[in-house]
Amino acid sequence: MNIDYSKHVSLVEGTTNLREVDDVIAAPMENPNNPRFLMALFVSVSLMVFCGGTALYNLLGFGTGTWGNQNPVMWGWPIVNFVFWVGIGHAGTLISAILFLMRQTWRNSIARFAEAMTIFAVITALVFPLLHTGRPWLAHYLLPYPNERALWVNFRSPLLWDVFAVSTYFTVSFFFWYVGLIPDFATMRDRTTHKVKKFVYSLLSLGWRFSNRHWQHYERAYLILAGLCTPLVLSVHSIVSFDFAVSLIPGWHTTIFPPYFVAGAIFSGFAMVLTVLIIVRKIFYMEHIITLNHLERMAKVLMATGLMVGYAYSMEFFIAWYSGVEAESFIFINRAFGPYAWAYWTMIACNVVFPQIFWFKKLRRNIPVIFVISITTNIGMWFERFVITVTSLHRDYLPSSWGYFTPTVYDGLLYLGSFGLFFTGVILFARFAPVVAMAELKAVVDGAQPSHHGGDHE
Amino acid sequence: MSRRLFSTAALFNTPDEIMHAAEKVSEAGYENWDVNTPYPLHGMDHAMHLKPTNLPYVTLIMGLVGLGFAVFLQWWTNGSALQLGAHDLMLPRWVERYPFVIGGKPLFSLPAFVPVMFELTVLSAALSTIAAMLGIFCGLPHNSHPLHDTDYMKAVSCDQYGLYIESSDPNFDEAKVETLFKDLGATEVTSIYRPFEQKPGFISHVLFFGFLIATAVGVSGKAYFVYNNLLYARLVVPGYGVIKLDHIIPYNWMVNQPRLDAQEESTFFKNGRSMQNPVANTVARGYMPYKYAGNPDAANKDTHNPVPMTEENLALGKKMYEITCSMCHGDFAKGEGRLKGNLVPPSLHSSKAKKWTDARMYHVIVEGQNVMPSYAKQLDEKERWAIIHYVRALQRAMDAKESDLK
Amino acid sequence: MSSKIQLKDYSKSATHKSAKLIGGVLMAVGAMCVVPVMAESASRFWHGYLIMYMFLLSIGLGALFFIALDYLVGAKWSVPIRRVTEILAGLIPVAAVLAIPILLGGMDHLYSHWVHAADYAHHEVKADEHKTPKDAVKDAHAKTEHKKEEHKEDSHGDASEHHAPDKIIMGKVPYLNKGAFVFRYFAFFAIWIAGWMYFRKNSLAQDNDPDQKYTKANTTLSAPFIFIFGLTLSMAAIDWIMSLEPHWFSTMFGLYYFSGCLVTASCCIAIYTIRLKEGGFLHPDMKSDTYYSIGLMMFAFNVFWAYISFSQFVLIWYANLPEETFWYIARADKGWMIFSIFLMIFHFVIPFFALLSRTIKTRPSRLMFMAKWLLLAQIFDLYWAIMPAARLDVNFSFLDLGFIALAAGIVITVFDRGAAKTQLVPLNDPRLQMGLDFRSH
Repeated sequence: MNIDYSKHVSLVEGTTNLREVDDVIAAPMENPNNPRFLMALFVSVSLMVFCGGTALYNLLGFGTGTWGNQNPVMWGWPIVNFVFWVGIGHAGTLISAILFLMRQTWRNSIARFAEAMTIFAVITALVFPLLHTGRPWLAHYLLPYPNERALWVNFRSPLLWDVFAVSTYFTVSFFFWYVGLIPDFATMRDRTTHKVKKFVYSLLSLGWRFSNRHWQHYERAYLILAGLCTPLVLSVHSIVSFDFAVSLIPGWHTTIFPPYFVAGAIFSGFAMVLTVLIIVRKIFYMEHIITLNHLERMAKVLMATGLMVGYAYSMEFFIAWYSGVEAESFIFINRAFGPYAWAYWTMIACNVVFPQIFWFKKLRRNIPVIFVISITTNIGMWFERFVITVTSLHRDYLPSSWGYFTPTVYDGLLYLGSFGLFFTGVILFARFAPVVAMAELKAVVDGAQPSHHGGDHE
Repeated sequence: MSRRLFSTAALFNTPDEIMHAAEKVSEAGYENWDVNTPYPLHGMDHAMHLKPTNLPYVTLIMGLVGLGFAVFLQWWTNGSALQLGAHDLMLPRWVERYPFVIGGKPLFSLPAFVPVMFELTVLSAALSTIAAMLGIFCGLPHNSHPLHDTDYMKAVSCDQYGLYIESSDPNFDEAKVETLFKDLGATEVTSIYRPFEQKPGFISHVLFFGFLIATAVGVSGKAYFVYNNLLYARLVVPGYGVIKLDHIIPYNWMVNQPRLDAQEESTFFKNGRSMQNPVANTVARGYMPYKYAGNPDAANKDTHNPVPMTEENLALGKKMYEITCSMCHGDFAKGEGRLKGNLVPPSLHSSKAKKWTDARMYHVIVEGQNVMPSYAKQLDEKERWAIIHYVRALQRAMDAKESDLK
Repeated sequence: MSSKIQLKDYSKSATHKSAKLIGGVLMAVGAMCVVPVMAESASRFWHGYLIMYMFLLSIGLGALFFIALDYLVGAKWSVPIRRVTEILAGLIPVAAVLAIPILLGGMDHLYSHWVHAADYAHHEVKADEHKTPKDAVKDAHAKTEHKKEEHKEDSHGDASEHHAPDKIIMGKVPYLNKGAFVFRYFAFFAIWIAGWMYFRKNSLAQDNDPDQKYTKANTTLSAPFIFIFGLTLSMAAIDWIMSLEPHWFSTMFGLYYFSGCLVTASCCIAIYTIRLKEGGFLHPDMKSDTYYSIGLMMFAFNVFWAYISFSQFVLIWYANLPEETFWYIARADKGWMIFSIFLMIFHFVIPFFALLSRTIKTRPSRLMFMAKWLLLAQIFDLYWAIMPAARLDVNFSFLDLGFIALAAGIVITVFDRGAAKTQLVPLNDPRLQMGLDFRSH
């Protein structure tokens, strides 16, 4: 396998015709429903309605006691799932903002989809802390609004930082996503002949005219937003990690948590993007837009972030011994060899060991292998949050209150329901909005840019 | 048929051609012209000689505004050690706050405030950038532009590169512009006309959207109030009884709670009341034996009230009277209480009550009279005497003498 | 193509001569300021020496990281300036030499808490046996109170007086002992220098033989190397700085030093890119977009440094555990508080707003100024991390200026000598043309 380092790698294979790019991307929106789409929608909606609905009804009717959360493990699955989904929500902004700033143009094919996944993953994540408050209809108490009780929120609480971080992240990601969609809605407006669709697309495109005088501001705004989103995406998972790390619980209180959580979030987010993209490119015939090269690069990122979390695991272990604090070293030995050893070693295997097969070029260009590894990574990252949350709590400073956490069936149903919610969103998005950013992709097709900048010919 | 010309437009096939054309048009000194490309072309800003955008200043300023707001918000609500409340500062009541220490952290804990400061900075900067870019710098939304619904637009939104010069340009001359475009290698040169003056459909009217928003706000607001009222509603079903709606509605703002309210019926206790007497032979803290127990006449001879009549004690008496006595005797002691049904509590303005000594009245509070139970367990001695002072004040107020008015 | 470009010869230029002189003078002045202090207060001298050493090492390690990273991600914009980075990574072997005095003489002064702990390991630890770790931490506090007086004794040249180490330190002896420390010193520097030489060898070989196999070889090595690099760098940071106060621990510490490496290296790259470009030694087609990218790097890594430092601080401040807070308390009293606040403003707030501007990132003179500013800030950061370990008052004296001068002189000399021996643009690198075509907007 020889690579010519002196040339840019073509990002779109096969065609360089811009109209064809539009046709391929617009196809899912213009063609009638295909049975596979309806099938997928049916499955995810039923997951959401039946599993999620049952759990929700039970929860609202009887309270959070229906979950497995019990002394001493007061933060069980709901928090695990929250961190899991928020983590998945990080890949989108990472791909769209950080890789944009690093001028990794290969991101253009997958950024839109990853951003959409961010939006839906964050929505899904938000369900859990909302329900965990016990009275979700009083969730506005979490916001600092003037009220007749003269009570304000406590800004010194990391849980409140979370409220600000996640809601800011959601808002900014949403508008970032929308700004990217404007030119594509305009393209759809000019393609469609359907009256209602035309009205809706006109409204959504805000009357975008592809004017260069607009592109100038638009591009700068996009750059600024990418610049703002980059620290934002780092801050969100750092603040999620603060929820744990500012406490005194051994296993939670460790300074590496913020960057470690961020690396883990990127890791799990990329895994989920890979899982979904591999399916999507197949269903919508986008193999030459989302190419094997893209998947290979993402596999590399997966491996790199896997090593980063591996670094964090080993650093935690080393410092736990180095610190000489008994509780600290106990909790780590307990993690690896205590009653939750099965969870710990699942985590290590899925997150650190399995991705190492991507050292081999053959394997990281093999789609079934990538797919399997992306799924094991999702499992591993879920277990990581489980290990952090549960193993640190189940044996804390007071041996008299040690216990073993067992989830209930409602924990499981709610978790399944959350997958239903997430996939319903993703599937509907894939049907009604362009899954690949047309304007951005056209800009990186071979020959799409002038051969000399500013026209100064030699 | 005179359609007004908006512009003359040309389409090009390759990015290099449009780049070249843009440079030439710019050099020719045209002002009101623009390039339309399906995606931003590198170097086009330079070719068009556009000034750099001022958008970053919006971001910077609004970011700093967000930061300032976050600092102020956290300082005022959590971090300010100011003892002055909203009232002292002549501020509205809704900005009132109680600073309190949590977790041993100082009131103004800067490290703990940094995350929210950061988030609000980013939020403010990002949203303002988007709003300014779309609304101010690009003038969107603008769905009625003459370019819309033209073949030119359809081409540039897909795979061609367009350039147009507006007829409003001072140097505009249709023939000259067309030749210029042809010379530059345009594949197609078209004239774009302004659409006929159309009355804008009601659906795109600002007022219509305003109406929609107002309706949405109005309906949800009303729904909120109706919902809250429903919590207190009682539904009478003939043959079944009364259904309290707050038992059915899932979110009842804690209106329906398992605890027992005073004066409420209870099926838990045998006597069906929520208020229970103390267990027999138990003594409360600070209990003192009552010297006229069972002897009202002796009490009526004692004229002493050990609690002095001060403003403070009157206030205490008023407070305790309103809590303990007013539901039967009424706020003004005229027997107009909220609980009277079959029982008619006596007015305390009767001549009999006026003639009683303080100790005689005290006797009723301690031992009860007729249907009135003893209130010895609800009120301590000082409170009882204070109530009597208050009742005396009420009596005097209802029957003021000439001298009192001076 | 570009290989026809005739490059200016650095070794015969006036820049070379002046750099030689300036480097020499700075080193001489620095040494003159520093040496007298050695006799006066050995502890102060060695802490200052450690700051200088860690600073020089951070430039070398940061540069080495950038070389590997650029190969790994296939960065194009940085190819025209890769030689600058390669020469800067040449500070690693220099740092290896500079570490030898510490190993030979400085350890008793710097790491007195644990350096002789292994000697006690064979004896029974009588007094401390019944103590809990918390008591031991208290002891550590008490000791720090005494330290100041100890240093007075130090100044009489007697540094061999040691307390028996407490239980916590005894627990760390398997890691913190002289033998293991020296072994790690050799192992880490062997890895780093080997990596640097391998990258450099392939890169230089390409100048004569425009084959892409060299690029491929370096790309292949870069991935595993970065991983090993990350581990060794963290361990080195723990060894050299964190173990100054061996009771303290932070899982983030490796990253903290790493973020500093990124800042110093990108600043040095900025300074030397500007100097060489303005002197006409780099590729004539290189545009100010390269400056912009370096400026962006400085900005981003400075923010990263702030993020890491803040996170480390806020977690310890919030949890308020005595095992950890004493490290920050030492940096908050005896005048260090003002220094800490000053550092926050000088290192983060001012450069943050300055580097936001695009003009500063593209104008060479301003970027040069900010790069020097940040380098100074990073020296202050190391000063802040290392000096309080000696439990001394803030006392910024000729000694520190001397070490700064010495460090500057060493950087100038090392770079100058490296530049004189090397072709300053990798003309046969396959990515060079794409790097030159790179535009930042």
